[in-house]
Amino acid sequence: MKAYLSLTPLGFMAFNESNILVGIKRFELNPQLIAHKILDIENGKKLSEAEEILSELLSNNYSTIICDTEQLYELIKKTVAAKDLKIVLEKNNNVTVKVKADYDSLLTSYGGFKSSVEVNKFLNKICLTYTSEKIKVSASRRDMLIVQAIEALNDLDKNLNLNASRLREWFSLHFPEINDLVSNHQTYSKIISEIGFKENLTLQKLVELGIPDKRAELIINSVSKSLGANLIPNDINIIKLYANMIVNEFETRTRLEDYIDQAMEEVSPNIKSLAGSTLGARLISLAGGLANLAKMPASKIQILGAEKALFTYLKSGDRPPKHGIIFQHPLIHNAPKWQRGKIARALAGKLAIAARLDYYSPNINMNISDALDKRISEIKKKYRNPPEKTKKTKTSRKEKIKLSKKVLSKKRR
Amino acid sequence: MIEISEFKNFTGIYQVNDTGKRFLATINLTPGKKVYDEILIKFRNEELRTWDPFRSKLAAALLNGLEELPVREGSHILYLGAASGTTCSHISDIIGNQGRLYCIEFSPRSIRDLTTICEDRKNMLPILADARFPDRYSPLCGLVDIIYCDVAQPDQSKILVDNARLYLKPAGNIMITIKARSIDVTKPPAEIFKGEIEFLEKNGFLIKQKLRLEPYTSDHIFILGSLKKQ
Repeated sequence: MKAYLSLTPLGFMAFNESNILVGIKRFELNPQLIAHKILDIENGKKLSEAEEILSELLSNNYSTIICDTEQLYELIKKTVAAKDLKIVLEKNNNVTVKVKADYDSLLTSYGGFKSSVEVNKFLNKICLTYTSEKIKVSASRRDMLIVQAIEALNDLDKNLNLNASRLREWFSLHFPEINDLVSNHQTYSKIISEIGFKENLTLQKLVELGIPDKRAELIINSVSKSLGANLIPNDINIIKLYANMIVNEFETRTRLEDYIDQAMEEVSPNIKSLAGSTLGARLISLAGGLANLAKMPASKIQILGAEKALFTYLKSGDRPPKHGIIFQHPLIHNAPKWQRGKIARALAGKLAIAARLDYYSPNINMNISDALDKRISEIKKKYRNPPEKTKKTKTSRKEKIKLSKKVLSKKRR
Repeated sequence: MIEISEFKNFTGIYQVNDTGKRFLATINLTPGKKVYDEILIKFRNEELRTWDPFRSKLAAALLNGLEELPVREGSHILYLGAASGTTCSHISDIIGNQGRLYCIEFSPRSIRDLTTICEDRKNMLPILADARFPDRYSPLCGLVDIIYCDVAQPDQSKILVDNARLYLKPAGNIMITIKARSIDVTKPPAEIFKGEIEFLEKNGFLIKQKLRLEPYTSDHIFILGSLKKQ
């Protein structure tokens, strides 16, 4: 005989073909527990209630169990009793339709609820626990932490540039000459933060902070000839404070980079070996997570970050972008222009493989960089010289759009 | 001078006229509590919440001439793409404590905000799930009177059809907002809308009304329909 099995918030319910209840295995009527049981089933865990209802059905001569969802089917197949039963998956079968139609009356009669308002409260509690647990799981994914960290790094860089520019303008009121002589923001901030008044500058201190000898001499010499104003301690101290803040920001930046480096090593070592930690983290961020990146085709990875150029191309029919954020990779930006497209394609191809390796079997570091190096050296050898400049006949913009629309529509077919 | 009157013949929806400014409002199911930054207005013994058409496409559709709103007190509704719960909260107001709104949302970040709202509103059920796989929330959902679909995905019509097959009552109603840019960023919107409507009709739906949502949202169409009797 056939029994149709359904999972409801009350537990497992089995019906025969005439929609009569032939078996029920209740969950404890606690919304939080029920939510966890539903999550367990989603995560492929076994459930004792499933065993129990199957044994019951088996002993009542039901030999065929029809499940209405894939998750239920997978769960039932794993039970011990399944070996004596025929388990079938039939989505949206007639019995399920009836169960769904009578959902509220089933819940009120078997759950002991007095009204649909009470049913609402019960379901509301279950769903709150169910969803909260799922939110926690998604937040604990380490790739999400990397995404936030790299975005923080981007924000920090913007702030640093802003703050450092401000510091330069501000301090230049006192000692403008040093501005052009120290181009590195971090060194500049350190100098100001430690020294303050320009008169306190010594050759030794400058060299300690990393300034080469000749430049340090130039700086010291400019002090006496400086066109900047003399400031009182109050004025200098506040500038020093601001400079100190920037020095700390730089330190935070370094530690953030180290964190990202470590996390990338744990979470996606293969992407890290190909693209480095920062670029790798940026790719994960643009994709919206490692899972998403792993599902992308190489062609998409190639242009991640060049969305503006991509959509311009799609609408106008002009040239497509050759590379997005992977342009930051030295293999691409250091290469001569005519090689970049081919290198971008090769790199993106290997990145796609790396992402999949990292997502599906983390912690294994395979040497895909060797394969990439081989391909890159092939490209560099074959295309060592720039292509000959062919005479371009002037096609009007309208004709270009027409032509590429034709190409696009042919591709679609 | 604030004038409050019922909005056309739609139960549960009011029209507030405040010296020339006109907005829609619903009766607050949880008086004293705000969901986004709407304005709360005392009215008789109830409290109204203003409904922003720039944030809620359903409000935009109502203001642009939606002829029929199947959402009533006591309705059971499946909402695909609940996001942070702006439109959901107004539907929750209209359906009252006897109604039920299953809120399906895929983004953990958005549903986090929705969960806070659901703690106060017992007629809203937050479900973190992908609407592409309606089987997965099968234990939690019964049949519904209406499916409201606002997912902004290229295959959104298919998502609606798959969910309707499992959860929509016979002759049930659908409301779907179609974002042209989500489906194909290069085709002209009118062509996209035509394609989506044809798909829905081919899958057994009768299209009762289609509306543009300008000036509140651009390149969107709001469709009201129902499942044809088999």
